[in-house]
Amino acid sequence: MIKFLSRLGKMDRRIVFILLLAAILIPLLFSIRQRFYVDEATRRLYDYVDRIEPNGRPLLISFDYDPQVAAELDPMARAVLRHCFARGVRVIGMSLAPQGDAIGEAIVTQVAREFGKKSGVDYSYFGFRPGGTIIMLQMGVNAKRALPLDYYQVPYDSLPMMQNVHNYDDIAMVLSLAGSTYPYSWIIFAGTKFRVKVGAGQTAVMAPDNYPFLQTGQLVGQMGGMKGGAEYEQLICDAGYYHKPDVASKAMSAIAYSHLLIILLIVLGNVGYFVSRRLEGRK
Amino acid sequence: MSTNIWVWIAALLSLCIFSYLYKDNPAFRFAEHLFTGLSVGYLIVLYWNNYALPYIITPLADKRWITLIPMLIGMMYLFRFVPKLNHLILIPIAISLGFWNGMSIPLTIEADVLKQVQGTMINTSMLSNIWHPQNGLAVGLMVLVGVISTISYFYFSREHKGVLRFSSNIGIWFVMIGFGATFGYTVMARVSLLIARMQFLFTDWIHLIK
Repeated sequence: MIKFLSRLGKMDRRIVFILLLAAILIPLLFSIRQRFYVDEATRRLYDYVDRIEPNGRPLLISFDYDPQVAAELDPMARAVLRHCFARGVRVIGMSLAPQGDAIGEAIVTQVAREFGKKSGVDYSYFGFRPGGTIIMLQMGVNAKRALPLDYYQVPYDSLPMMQNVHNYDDIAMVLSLAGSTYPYSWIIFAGTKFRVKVGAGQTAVMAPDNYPFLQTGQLVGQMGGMKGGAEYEQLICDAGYYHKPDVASKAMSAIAYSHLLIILLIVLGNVGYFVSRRLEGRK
Repeated sequence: MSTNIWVWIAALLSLCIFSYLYKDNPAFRFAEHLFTGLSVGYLIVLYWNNYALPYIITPLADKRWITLIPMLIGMMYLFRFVPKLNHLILIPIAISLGFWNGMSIPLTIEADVLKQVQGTMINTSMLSNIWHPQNGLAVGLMVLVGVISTISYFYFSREHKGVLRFSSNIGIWFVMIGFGATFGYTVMARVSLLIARMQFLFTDWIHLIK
């Protein structure tokens, strides 16, 4: 028994991979549903979007992420867009990350099609805008100069919904979806300088960094990782804005079981380490 | 099974990448190099269309000669490759540093220092709801103790003895809990990426998950 325990610390990594694969696939294949609670940070973001006046000031969603982290951020983008379009809130889309350009376009057009929304009227997508913080600052002074043409090369002035959008004063909130520090830049260069409300959707790796800004109210709210996306999906389904949970909600059971497995492996690894150290001490 | 060729390509490339979990192999290296090449090609086209065309080519074609000034300053970075004129790259660096520091220091002090210090303070509004998860007195006290003890741990100008030792010992607990939370989130991030790929393979590709 002691020898077996000592071997646990040196378990072949391929066994770990197989166990993890099983912990993920079994809940997915058998559609096992797991209960999860909605975090305060996600609820605050949802509540703020829920208070935006339909056909009033639009919500700006910045797709500041690359395909590497799309698995975590795509569900958030879809959930927020469904929430907006179901309520008649207009949306401006853009991206400060080069590869977010096509990702944003695919998601915005997919959700717009679901709700029968028209480009230029109910939403406008501007694609990748190079310059990062320069664009954030320029938007505060003159949005038209920052976003001269939309993704389909239509001039700003020809987009009916952009007629009354001159700067951040005409935008209800900036929501930055990112796997890096873009939301932090939005807080500084848009939130602090121009007093526009900023929300974030962050990968789980980056989410903890934003808690100080949530506590001070510099961030309206935040969705953290795939769980954040699942929470938002849950909230819009509970409120009747959308009929069924999407991919993030379906993944929650796989996340729960894989986390349990990882906890178990950490405990067993530590047991194995201490037992083998004791055995070596005896020798 | 999917009949979409792009789904098949994406699925087979995903399997090539996963094959590395067993050991390094030509299929993995092919997918890796393909990804790198595609990313670079995509970025070159994107930057040409979004940087070079609207900010350099079009203005120059319209005879807006003022564009030449920032363009030439930017091109000075290329003197990095000319040993005799190497020192000239200090000009664009100085301009960039001056601009960015002037622009970001006041804003960063306001957002990152003043607001955060304000967020650490206990105020009378916290007394109305002691256990509120965001603005309650209990959380306020915890934040205050956490900030002071963590800063005291990073105070190296005096030996950690007596009160300073007690305070820094508490600080290290806060630091460890912070690291633990970050690690937990990181695990969730990596697992989420794997789950999403499995969802793609088993839903979009072989239609096993409805």
